[in-house]
Amino acid sequence: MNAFPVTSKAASGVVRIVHVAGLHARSSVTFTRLAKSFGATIHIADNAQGPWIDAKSIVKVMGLKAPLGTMLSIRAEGEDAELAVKQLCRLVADDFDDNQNATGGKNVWNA
Amino acid sequence: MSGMLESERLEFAGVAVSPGFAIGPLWTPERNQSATYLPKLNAALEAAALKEAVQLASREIAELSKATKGAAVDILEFQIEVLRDKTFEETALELIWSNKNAHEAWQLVVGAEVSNYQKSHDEIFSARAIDLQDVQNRVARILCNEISQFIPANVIVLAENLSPTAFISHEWSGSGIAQTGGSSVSHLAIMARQFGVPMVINLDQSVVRVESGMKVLINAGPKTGILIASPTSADETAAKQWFHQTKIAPKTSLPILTGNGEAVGLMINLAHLRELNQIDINDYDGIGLVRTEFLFAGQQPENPQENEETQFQAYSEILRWAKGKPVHIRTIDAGGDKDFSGYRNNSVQSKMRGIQLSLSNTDVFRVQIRALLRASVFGQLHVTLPMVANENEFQETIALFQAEAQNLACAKITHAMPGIGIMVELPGVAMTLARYAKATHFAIGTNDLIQYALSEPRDAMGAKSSVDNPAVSALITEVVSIGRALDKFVSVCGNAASEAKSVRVLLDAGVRQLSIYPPARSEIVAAIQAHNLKERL
Repeated sequence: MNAFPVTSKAASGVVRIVHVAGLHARSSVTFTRLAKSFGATIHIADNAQGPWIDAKSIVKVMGLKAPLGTMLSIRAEGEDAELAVKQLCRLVADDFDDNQNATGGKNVWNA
Repeated sequence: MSGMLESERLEFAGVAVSPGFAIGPLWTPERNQSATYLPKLNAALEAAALKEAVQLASREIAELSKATKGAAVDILEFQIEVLRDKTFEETALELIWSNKNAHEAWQLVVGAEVSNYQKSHDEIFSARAIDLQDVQNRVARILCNEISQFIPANVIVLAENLSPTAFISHEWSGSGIAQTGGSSVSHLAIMARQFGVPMVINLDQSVVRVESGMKVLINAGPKTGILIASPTSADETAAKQWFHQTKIAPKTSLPILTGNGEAVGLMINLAHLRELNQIDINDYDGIGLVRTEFLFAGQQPENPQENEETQFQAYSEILRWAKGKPVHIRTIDAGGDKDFSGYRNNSVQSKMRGIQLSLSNTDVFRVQIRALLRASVFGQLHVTLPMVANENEFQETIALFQAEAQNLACAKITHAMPGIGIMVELPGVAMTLARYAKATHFAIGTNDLIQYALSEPRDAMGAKSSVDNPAVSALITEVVSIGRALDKFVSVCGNAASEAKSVRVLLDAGVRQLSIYPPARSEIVAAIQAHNLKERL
């Protein structure tokens, strides 16, 4: 998953959903809670053309009904945009596992 | 239809989603007797009433969450997040300002979303309609000033779809759930399995004619689910017998515990993709060793891109098969007794093995690294470097991974950095492990460790000595204790992990992760379970 910073205050990335159940109830809770921890405005889409939806609304995020294999586009604007995209991409790539690092963890590489 | 004779035995077929059986009087929740909402004087009061009801609903769920555990907590957290999200509330408030009352507005807005989910073709998403409906009904009930319905003790609940919060509010010992609707992937089914509540779904619609209070038996067996109205004593005996049989079956499902209850991770060694078909990942905690030599056997394509693609496909398939469990893939371990055409170019290389050979042949190695980086997004990948002899080899390999990750990033190719660890196969490495503090894991290769520690010839039969040799077991104990101090994942993936008598020695040395040859599973599980460990401080 790569994040390509446009300016220092905007960032975007694309990540594949590897969770078997897709972006469902529990994964949406984890995803929106992480999104809400950033000041940046964050939007996601299930294809690069949009429509773009608010990544901080669980109703909208789950409403996307994104199944396994979806290439999820994430874009953010604001002071912490780059960090937000990086961490959200990592969460999706790590299968929404909040207990990572038990066996050493995985670092996601960003350009 | 005027009810049934009380003595008439009737069977209704359904689908078992949570195993067990239960006997008791049938109980059906009352249909929502058209809840009455008392409209407020003006829109401002309607808006206030809605906001208050949403907040109260959120508090009720938070209370419920304190008293439960496991999957139930996740499900309630989801409902709380939905209520915190202003999307529904804001849309409902717009309707209130255009003259709908709070109750109408809420039901319209959330009801539309619920039916949207019900229409989903994906079973998991359509099952979530019930969770949203649960939230919808709670707020609607609060707006109408109604109290929630109470399920009596020791009954068999019959409903189309019982709500998740009704489940969580009830003490289920001795009772069970019968549904005419439902799904095996619903949150209710997940909780029923977790809390051990017998549950049968998709019962024949005619079951609704069975009167409330009538004695029924539900039997959720391994293949069938059934509800019997007015069961005979033979029915009860049969259900009890089946239940007893499943209870005494030997427990060999994960986690595998030692005699005194310590969990031991059980992983598999994999040498070829075709082996995946014969193994169920649910029986294991992951893959402890994927030998990648099979990808280099035979004629290699000239085109490195073709090579990368073949490897990428193979690694991705393994990671997807492992369903998020850790997968340790070892980079090619050529040299020594493992010869591969095209991998050795000169006489110096002919004496090399493992990572040393890979680092002397970086064109080939970089292809493998790229394929691993790309596949890494499909699961929990850890790369293991074979026959590492000194820190430089480890550092050089890390640098290659970082360089290739940069190249992929520039080419905008999806990838992720896996964990990188080492095989511990040389006594010198075992004694200086703290120098590899940046490794994510240590995998002990007992075959080579024995060979190099005791100067034994290695042949097809493996080493002559075993891990109970004092020098070897001391080395393993050292690796485990340094690994533990550094908070690393330490596993054993040599032949010793697949031999019952060696497993006892490994457990004594502190090893808690074994990667085995799958046909040895039952023997190794038995050895672990029989092993009462010495008390450890």
